[in-house]
Amino acid sequence: MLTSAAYVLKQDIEELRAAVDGLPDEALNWKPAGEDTNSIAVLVTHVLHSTRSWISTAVGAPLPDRDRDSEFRVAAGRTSDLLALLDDFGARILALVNDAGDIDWSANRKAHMRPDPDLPDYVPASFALLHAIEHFGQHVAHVSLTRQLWDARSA
Amino acid sequence: MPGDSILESARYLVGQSLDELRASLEGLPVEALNWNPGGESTNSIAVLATHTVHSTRLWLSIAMGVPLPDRDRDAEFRASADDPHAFRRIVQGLADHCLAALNSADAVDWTSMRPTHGRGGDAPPEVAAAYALIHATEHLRGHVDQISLIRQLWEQRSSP
Repeated sequence: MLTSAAYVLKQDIEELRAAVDGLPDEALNWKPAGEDTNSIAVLVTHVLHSTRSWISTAVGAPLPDRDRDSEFRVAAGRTSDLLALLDDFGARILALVNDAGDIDWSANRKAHMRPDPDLPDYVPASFALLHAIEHFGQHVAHVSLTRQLWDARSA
Repeated sequence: MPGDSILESARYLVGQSLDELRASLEGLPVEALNWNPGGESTNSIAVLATHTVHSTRLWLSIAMGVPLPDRDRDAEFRASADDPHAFRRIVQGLADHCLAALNSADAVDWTSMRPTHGRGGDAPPEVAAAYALIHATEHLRGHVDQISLIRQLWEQRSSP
């Protein structure tokens, strides 16, 4: 399970990097449908922090500090800075997966604070792993489409 | 969580994504289903929904080791909706097949190697059941989110 997880995460990190690479700085904070939608800077920052936290839960590593609300207030300065963040967090996320030992996937583990207070604080390791990856895939797709829309708007 | 914890979590997450897909399609007229938000370089909701339910059904079938359904991937990217009600029924039928595949066993050996559907290129002819499950889950989630964003764009475009 962890081998496949690492493979898919590595692909997703590369796809996210490709979707950001080459964008002009002003594209990073553009919201495709106004205030109801998130910018690429927000999406990338959020998904990196979220994935590191959920993978930590999945493999039983200590939970990193996280301020979820601040992820949605991010405004990026330069594309190179966002790529550096992506490279740093991408390496940390893959290290968590690659360094994990045997996992009891049914073990209940503490998650970070959830956006909905009705959601449980403790989840099975299996849920944490699959949710981390599907959530990463969700935002990679979101960033890719936002870039397509930016490119179409700029053309 | 009794039984196969990986399988139980996958059922929950795939079920959530399919519920969200249904909600994102609900009430959309045919013009919205076939609209390309960024011109020809972007896919319509009809294409994304058709592609994702066919793909998810295939990858979940691979993961679970059940017979693989027929699939014409290229045709999925030519899909368009003529009747929104009929389109939603087709998508829902395929979504039901996805859930049926996930419910076809109580436990899975996730290290089992499974034949794929002949993807061509450098793609391996078989993959681990774990890979098929993870890929199905994250691929579905990604396209559901794109559909939701395109719906937002459509509604913003249509509002006075």
